[in-house]
Amino acid sequence: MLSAFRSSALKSVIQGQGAFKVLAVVPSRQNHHHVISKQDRIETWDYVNSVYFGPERDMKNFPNPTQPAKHEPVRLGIVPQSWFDFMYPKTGVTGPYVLGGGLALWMMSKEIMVVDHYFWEIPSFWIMVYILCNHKKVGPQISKWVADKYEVRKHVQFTRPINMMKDAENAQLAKLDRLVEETESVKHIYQAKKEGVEFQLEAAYRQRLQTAFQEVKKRLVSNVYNIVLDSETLTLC
Amino acid sequence: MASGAAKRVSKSVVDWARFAAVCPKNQTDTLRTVKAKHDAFINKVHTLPENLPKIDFASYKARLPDPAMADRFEKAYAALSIPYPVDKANMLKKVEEENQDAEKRVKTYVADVQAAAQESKTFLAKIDSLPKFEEMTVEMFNYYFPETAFNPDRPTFWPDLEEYQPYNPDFKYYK
Repeated sequence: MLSAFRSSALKSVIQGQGAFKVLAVVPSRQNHHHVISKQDRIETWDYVNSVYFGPERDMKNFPNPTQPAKHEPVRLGIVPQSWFDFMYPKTGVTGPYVLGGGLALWMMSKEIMVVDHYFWEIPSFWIMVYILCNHKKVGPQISKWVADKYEVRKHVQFTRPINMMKDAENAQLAKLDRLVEETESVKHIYQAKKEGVEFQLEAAYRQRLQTAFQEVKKRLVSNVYNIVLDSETLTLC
Repeated sequence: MASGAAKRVSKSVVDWARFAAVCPKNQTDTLRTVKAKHDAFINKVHTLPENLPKIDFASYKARLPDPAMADRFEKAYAALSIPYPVDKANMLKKVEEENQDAEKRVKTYVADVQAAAQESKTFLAKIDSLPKFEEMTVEMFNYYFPETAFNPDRPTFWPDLEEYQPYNPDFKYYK
């Protein structure tokens, strides 16, 4: 599969130059001079997805390996429950205990397992593991400490950059939506301009009405008062 | 605009609130001046009389030295027909043409914008197609993000940042 991996994606990194264009952020060892375009990313991801999750991958017999959250159930701190279940049909509940104890006794009697100062490693280690696994506080504290370290790494390496990419894309979409909305102003401009022309025509018409009225009134009033009038004085009458 | 077919206007149908909402942020000042001009036109129209004002000829008839003149004036005033102004410079046609032009440009613009929006949407979909971090081995991670992987042609010192690497021209921690 390594040979089948498309060399152009790695090649550009190796050459260290400008096959890549402007980028969104992913934490990188070689960040500042090597920017990767969206198109390159899409192609890389499509190819890698097709290899890891594509038709050649047998997901049924070889599912994606994951780390289980809890270890399998154990008896006495270290012995898996599955061994007890395996022996139960033949030897019942006490079978594994008898086997273990008998085995220990036999090894001691044959001096295979000698009780010297190396011997005590086993019981002491066993007791340590038992206490650590079964103590109410110790297990959770340690697992929390390890989990926090993992979470930090996950956040920095994966979640944060991916969210930055997503936020950038969403901001871009919002901006583009706003641009489309702004094109509506063309309609309003058209209406405003049309109305501007119409209102000017209307104003001219009304001005003509006003002038006609004033001229007639001027002549009438000047005839009544036998004087010459102009429009200004007319407004006072 | 045929003279005689008078299209009377007295109110503005432009939705200024909506116009202000869709106006680009850098053009609100222009919009303000446009509205001011528009309001000036409307105000001018409203200060002038809508129809030919009436003249009370009866009172003048009583006071005129020549009553027959009042009758003549009354008849002539009633028969008065003022022609509606003609749009000599053909501004309305120009406005229509500008509108057609603008709408064509809007169409191509919106198509471009939507193509770019489609690109962004496909990229978002591709991001969602990545496996979860818990399901990724380090090998997978390095294939998905090759720039983060160790590159034997350009090995780096910890902390693997560009500015701390000796091959970087900006490196300044010893010279």
